[in-house]
Amino acid sequence: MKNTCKTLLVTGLTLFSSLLLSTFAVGNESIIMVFLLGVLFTAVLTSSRRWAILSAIFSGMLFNFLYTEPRFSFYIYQTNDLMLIGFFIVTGVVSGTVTSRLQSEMKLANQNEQTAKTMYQIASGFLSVSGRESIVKKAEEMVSAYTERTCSIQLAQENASAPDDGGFPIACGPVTLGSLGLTGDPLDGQRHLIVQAVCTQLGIALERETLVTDRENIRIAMEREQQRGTLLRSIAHDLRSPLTALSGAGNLLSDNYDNLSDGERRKLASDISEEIVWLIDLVENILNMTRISEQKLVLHKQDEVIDDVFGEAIEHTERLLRDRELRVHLPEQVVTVPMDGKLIGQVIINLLENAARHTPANSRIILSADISDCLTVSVADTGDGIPEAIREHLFERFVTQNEEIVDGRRGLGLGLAICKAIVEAHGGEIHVSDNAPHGAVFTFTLPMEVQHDE
Amino acid sequence: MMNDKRTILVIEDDPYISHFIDISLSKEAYAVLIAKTAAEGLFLISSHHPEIVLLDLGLPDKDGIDLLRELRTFSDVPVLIVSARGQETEKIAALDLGANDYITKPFHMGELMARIRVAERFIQKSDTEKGNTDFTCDWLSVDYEKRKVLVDGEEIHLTPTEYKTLLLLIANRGKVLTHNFIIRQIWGYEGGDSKSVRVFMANLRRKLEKDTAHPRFILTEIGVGYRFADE
Repeated sequence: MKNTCKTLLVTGLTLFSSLLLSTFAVGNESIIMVFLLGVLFTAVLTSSRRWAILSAIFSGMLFNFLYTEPRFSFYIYQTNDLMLIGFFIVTGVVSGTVTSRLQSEMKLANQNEQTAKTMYQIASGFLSVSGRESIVKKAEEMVSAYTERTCSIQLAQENASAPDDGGFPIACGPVTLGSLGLTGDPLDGQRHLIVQAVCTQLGIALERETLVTDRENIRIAMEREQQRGTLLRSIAHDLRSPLTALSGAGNLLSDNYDNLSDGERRKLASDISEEIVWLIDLVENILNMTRISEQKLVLHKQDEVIDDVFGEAIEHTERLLRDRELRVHLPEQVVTVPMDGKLIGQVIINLLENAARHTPANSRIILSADISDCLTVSVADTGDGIPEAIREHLFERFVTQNEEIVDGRRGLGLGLAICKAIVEAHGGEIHVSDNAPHGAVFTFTLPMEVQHDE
Repeated sequence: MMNDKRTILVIEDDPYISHFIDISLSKEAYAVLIAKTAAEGLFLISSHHPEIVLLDLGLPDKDGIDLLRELRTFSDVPVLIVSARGQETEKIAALDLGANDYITKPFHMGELMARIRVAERFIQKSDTEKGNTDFTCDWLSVDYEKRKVLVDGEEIHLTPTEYKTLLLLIANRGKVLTHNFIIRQIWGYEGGDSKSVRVFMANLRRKLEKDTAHPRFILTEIGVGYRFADE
């Protein structure tokens, strides 16, 4: 319809100009050029070969009718005119065809460029997104932006094949990850292609996401393996010195029993038992640490009275704190706090041992509990405080005050790492601050309410 | 009476542990029998009728809990459980199955001796008639007839339930009482909420103890129950 109008308009204009020209008494050869121009314009405007040919034939007939002798009839008397019309029609048809083809190819090229641009936008759009949910959301946005349709994306669950609901399959390699369903009528070719491209890119993006997760898991596993290695090395190292002492004392006792004085024997025996107490604590902490590193820290939460937990911890550390002055502040009211009593007991034991280890004899250690919206427990000592250098890494594994004293009885530096892990597993926090005038205060908090978010 | 050595059966598969227990107990003038497996242990119980049994929970041929269950079908001999740390559930199960007490590995010999003495007192109590005399220990004394509890000679007020609980603790002194046991004995029902027992016991302790963080009488066994100490 549009093309008919265009053709008629161009032909009309051509006719008008030719009539205008003929008043100046120009030759037929010039007038036919005007018609040729008209055919070319028709071809350009309609980009259609059919209309170009029709226009050429029609123009030829018009020229014949209007300008050849005898005028106003389709008769041709002169061979010259016949040739002219013949050549005109051939030229018109050929040039019209070429022009219109050129036109439609340009149009196609434009369209292709547009599509390529869209494809690029689709492909690059997924690069900046991470996380399965946001990737899917991005795909939905893209589909609605480029096709003005809403779509729904169904992702297959792990290890289950995607439901075949007639939508666009989202696949990466041989695995179908899900499908994309569109509302409304079927799409035309171009948009169909775009949606397919979105699906392909979505598949790639999802696969990439899976790879990233896998790599992260591998990295974590490797790190854990490395930590386990370090842990084993430290354990072996820390065990060696007390074991040497133990075997020495034991050998001495069994081989030279008669040569030793009563006092010497007693001293050896008490050394052995002291060394062993230390070993037992070490083993207990190692056990806790392995439970924590394997991320299998199972909390047996019960409502414990803080008095009980303090009592247990103090009983356990009594020998260590013999020559220290331990003061205990308990809250006025008997209050229960949900916790794993054994593990929180271990935290307090570790903190008390730490305080004992880093303070001179006869110094005062204050253990106190305070209850407001959460339980706050603190252990304050009057030692030398925490050096700036290790403060930042205090709660990491294998931190001891002096790196060089590896053979001393400084422990594995596991104690505080365990405290942190236990407290955080309870949803609490642990931190250290300075005590006035000197010393350190370790404080941890535990939430009062049982968390129901699990 | 001098030759009347008490016989203690030790069911323990670790030779080092049973060896040192053997030496320590023999020093204290007990007759000691050692069994390395559950089967051997059961045989020795029926053949030698030991007065006290020390039972390790981790045995090669049978779970110590199963052995205890079997043992309780034919014998009331006091059983002391030896278990590793962190096995709270097993401890409670063993106590509820009729074990008299437990001791956690690693332990001091002194601790083991104290537990054995408690077990012995139970044997004596069943031998002789329960003398309902007044109880006095350190600053705490209980007048059974007048139902009075004195701390440093001053009378303190206890609710009837608290008084009942204190009597229960004293009657079972030295022995671990599980939360369940206390609920059953004092409130008379099974499987209640142990939270109320904890709060109740903490309050009772605050009335009796001078230093609640360092209790003299009512000791807590975290995750298991309470022990009343009189030694």
